[in-house]
Amino acid sequence: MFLNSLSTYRIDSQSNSQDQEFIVACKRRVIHFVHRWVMTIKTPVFSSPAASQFLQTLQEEVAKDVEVYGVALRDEATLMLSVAEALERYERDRSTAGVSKWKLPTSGRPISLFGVTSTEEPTEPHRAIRAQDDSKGHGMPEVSLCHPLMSTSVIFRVYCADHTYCTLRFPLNTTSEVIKRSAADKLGLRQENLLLVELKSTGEVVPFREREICPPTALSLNGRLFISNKDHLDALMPLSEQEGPSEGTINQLEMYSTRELAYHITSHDWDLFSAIHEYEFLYHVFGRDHFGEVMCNLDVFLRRFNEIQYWVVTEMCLANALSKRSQLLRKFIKLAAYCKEQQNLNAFFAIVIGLSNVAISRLTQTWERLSSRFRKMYTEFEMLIDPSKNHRAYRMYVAKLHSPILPFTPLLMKDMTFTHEGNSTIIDGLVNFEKMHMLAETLRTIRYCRSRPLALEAPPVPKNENEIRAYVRNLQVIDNQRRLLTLSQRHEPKRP
Amino acid sequence: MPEQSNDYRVVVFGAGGVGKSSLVLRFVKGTFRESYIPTIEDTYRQVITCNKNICTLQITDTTGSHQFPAMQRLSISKGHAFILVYSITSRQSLEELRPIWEVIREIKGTEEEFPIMLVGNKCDESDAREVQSAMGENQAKAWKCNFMETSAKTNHNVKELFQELLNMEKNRNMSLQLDGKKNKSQKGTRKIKEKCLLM
Repeated sequence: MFLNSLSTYRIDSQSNSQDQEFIVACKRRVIHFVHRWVMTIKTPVFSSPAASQFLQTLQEEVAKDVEVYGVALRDEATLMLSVAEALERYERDRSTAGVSKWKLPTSGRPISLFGVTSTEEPTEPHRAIRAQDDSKGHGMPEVSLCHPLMSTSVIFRVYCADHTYCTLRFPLNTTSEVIKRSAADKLGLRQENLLLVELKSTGEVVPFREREICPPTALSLNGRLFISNKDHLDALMPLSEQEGPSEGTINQLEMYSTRELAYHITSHDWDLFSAIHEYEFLYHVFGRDHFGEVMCNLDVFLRRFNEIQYWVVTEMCLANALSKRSQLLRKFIKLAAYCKEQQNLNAFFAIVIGLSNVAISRLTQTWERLSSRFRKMYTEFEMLIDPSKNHRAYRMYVAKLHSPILPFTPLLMKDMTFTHEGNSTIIDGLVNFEKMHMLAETLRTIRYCRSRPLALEAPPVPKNENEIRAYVRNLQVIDNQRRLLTLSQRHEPKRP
Repeated sequence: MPEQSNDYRVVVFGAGGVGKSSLVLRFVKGTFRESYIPTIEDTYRQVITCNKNICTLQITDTTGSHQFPAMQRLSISKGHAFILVYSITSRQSLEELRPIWEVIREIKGTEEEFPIMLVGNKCDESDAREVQSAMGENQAKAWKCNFMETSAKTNHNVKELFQELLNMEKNRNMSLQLDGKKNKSQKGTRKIKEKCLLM
């Protein structure tokens, strides 16, 4: 593209016969295009060496041309100057602020994403990426900030088949291959034939491709990183901690007001959602090994969906007494209602899908105890999550809402993946702009959802505020469907 | 068992890159890989006859939802019939269908019979074949479902696949044909639908 623009710009050097007006018009078009492009995208252009090189070359040529063509290119020269200034500003910022990976306008204010001591309100995303610190899990990815001049790093464990492990710390953009080598080194394994894999709580093994970025944040809820010989993958057994809790937290939940719970869930989800850079969606859709860029904030947010969903199922399955269970069911339906009211549709879907999990929906005795009011509420919710006609019900509903919205993100991911897989990126050597427009359309939806800050009404009488805040950030779940079903069947055995 | 509605819902599963979307597109639009907008609901619908009445065949393409077991579960619980797609050029893609098949069994239970088709797509790429037809057939037998090889690219067996799936439904009598006429494109079906409405 750079070459194309430059050669169009240098139209006068190729054919002297063109009349001046045509030449000037061409030059103008190139400058206007470049200006718009740069001003739309900003940081990613500036951070690419090839692009900034191109901008410098172009600017020099424009400066020369102003002398030749005079007034005709004066406005354009001003445009180029503003581009150059923006580039300069970016480079100055970078040299003072260290590695500023991304800047993202959320609610009008730019925020920097990783490891930067910026003056521009960086606290929220930090908390977001740190969210998993609380878990103090064994082998759970623990993301922490380090020296501002280095990018954020992630601390995690890699296990062997015998459940010995090593603890590693790497920058977020580390590839699976580097992690594999380093783990093999530390654990004293021979390098040949090794694979870095995720072992899910169900025992399912998912290998990582060598170029995939940041495997630790890509894991499923109770998944762990394992390193193993290619031929011995079948022998891998999950750790006992991967099973998840054996006792529910119903006693705590009973004490928390549902409204307060919803408030803290939504505030936390919003933090996670705000921390995602728009491009992370693209990185995710094109594949972890495609751009070599970090998408950890999106990983964390997508994980949150599953976390809430399995939390609901887990708590229901771990509530032993029938009366407690139906009480809890009522609480979750109420919680879904609050989330819907707060336009946290991501959590709303997660809760309702959790309740519609077969391990819960089969508990007929529990559902029978529900009053007709709650039953009606739940039926309405089910209609909203109905996937038919490609989630028509939800799309109609969300179209009427105003920002701020926490959208049902799996659907956005699905739309983008669909667009990506259904359309080629390059057709006959040209970029397929129609596809890019479609992807941009979804990104615009996301931008709209975040175009206004979250202004939730805090609960009138906050009780156990800190406790609830910590609770919603640290949900413990069982994510093995088989185990959930077994628990469910123990509560209400199948009728013969 | 989902309620007997005027919709007949077919859910298409398969790993990334096996050609699920192409298959659906080929069937619904009659084209291969044309520019495609995912959010227009009509793209997924096809009018068919069911018990001598007009009914809508709704196709849910699960592309993009592989990371969200929740979305898969949702589609399964609302679905009437299932198409499991792998690519004959990738053994891995066949293996990746197993967990999905297990989830379908788990959600739908084992008592009720429901139509499932195992489909080996990309059968035009015979040079790169990794999965022999016999292997697909055996897998289908083990999973108690029907089997077919298709090519969305050359339009081989695409319509046949959907017809076969409808034939497998024992609770209703369904056909892709409308009044004996071939149902070639969406435009065509809309016309026919209007005619039927007039009647």
